Amino acid sequence: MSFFDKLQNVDRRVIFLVTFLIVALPLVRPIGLPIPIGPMTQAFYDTVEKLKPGDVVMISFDYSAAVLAEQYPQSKSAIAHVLAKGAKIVAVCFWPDAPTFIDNAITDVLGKAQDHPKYGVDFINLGWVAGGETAMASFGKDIHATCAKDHYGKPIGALPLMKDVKSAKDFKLVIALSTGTPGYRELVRQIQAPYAIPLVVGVTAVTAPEVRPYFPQQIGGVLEGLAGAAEYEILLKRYGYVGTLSAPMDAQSLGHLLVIFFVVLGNIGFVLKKYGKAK
Amino acid sequence: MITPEVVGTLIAAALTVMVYSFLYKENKAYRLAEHVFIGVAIAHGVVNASKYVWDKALTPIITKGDAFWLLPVLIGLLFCFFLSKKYFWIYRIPVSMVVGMGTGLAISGLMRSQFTDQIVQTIAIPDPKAAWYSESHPVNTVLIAIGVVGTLFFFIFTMEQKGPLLYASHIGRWTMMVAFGAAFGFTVMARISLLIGRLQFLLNPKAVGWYLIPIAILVVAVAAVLERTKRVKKT
Repeated sequence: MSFFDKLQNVDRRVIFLVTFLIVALPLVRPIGLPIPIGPMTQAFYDTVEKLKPGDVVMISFDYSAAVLAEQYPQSKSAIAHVLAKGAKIVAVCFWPDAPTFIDNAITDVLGKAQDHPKYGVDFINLGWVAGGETAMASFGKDIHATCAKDHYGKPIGALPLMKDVKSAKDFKLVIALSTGTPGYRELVRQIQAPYAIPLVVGVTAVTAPEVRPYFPQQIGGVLEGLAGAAEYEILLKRYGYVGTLSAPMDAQSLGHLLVIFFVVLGNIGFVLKKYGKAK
Repeated sequence: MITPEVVGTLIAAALTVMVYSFLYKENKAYRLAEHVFIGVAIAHGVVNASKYVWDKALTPIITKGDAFWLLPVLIGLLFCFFLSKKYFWIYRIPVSMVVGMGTGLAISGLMRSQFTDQIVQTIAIPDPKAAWYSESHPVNTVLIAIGVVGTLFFFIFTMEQKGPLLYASHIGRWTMMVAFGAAFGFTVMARISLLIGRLQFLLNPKAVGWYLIPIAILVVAVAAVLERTKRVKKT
């Protein structure tokens, strides 16, 4: 095998090992690379900023454990921002894995979830609603008929927050943290469009290109993967929010540089081999 | 002190290392982790779904005598006929109901949100007063409009693509290639984020820390011994 062939066929185990090291090192010793704020993250932030104290926000957690690295930081930041504005949260999920993530995210932000003195007043965890898009449509029409009890089995009619929240019309904003189906697309169809409620979304990076056509008219702001979450954390610093994504973003940036390096390396090998043959 | 949390964390760390051992080559440690994952995921789904049916339908029937819920429960039970060759046709009844209802719901919202609204969005210029607005937005809007029209021309198969149609179709092809490139870039970003998530877990001194080293050595050693045993048996 010639040198040019070797450039095009680097052993995958070498690539994996170098990727591992390049990604792991900044996590142990962060570099502090700058993180510019993207327009869609800014739009997400601006939309939440418009909330007034007492407004009710629906946050839909539609993701599984596989994407926790990207969507869990988005979830925590969104909860912290909404509560910092004095708004109230109705948390729900249409994926069976997510009730625990709602619980954990609220606990990480407020210290407690179910046992918090403001549970049922400032926020509520309605848990999983089975049925996908059908459940979303039903939830939008009549919340009390769709989820008579919260995630912990308490009747929601008895909780002060839910006394005036009957349907999707009572929400001032919907935040969709979604990664697949059902997710933001179904919420656009069943909640945003029929009830004309502003919608912002947090998605995984894989989903991000699919969301862009909806921005800014149908979806008012987007957090795209880990990068979007890191940008959002920076914007939330003015509320005293302590972010955790500076080191992961260093790792992300170096990981991308490595991928670009290997792509360029392979192409150099390809071009030089072709040029050599032609000569 | 060994608490259930510590044991759970160690199991999670061991499974993570077992999954990543696939990067060297496929081995039994990886396969075990894969099977455990699938088993746990299915069990989690079944338990959640059963609990939901119990809370939502069976509890009102038993405690309040609410007969209304008998209907969806019975329709749901018809799914079990999937397992019968003779009465498989009965299984099609609940399936047709679910598909019909899902399609009806989706189409009513889809025509507006994913068809007419999307056409409007294609040519809409964002509000210049928005904080995130930049001078590049009108240029992007024009590029998107040209790209969308070009892509539509690419999929016209009822006439020969030549002359202006061919140029429009070429624009469509380039637009799609740019879109696929962007999608690939975002996929790389997502995959690296997943690696970062696992590494954060493994390198967190409060969660796993230095326990990781003996776990990793154990996983690699077990995988290597099993591989060697397999090779010896073959020879």
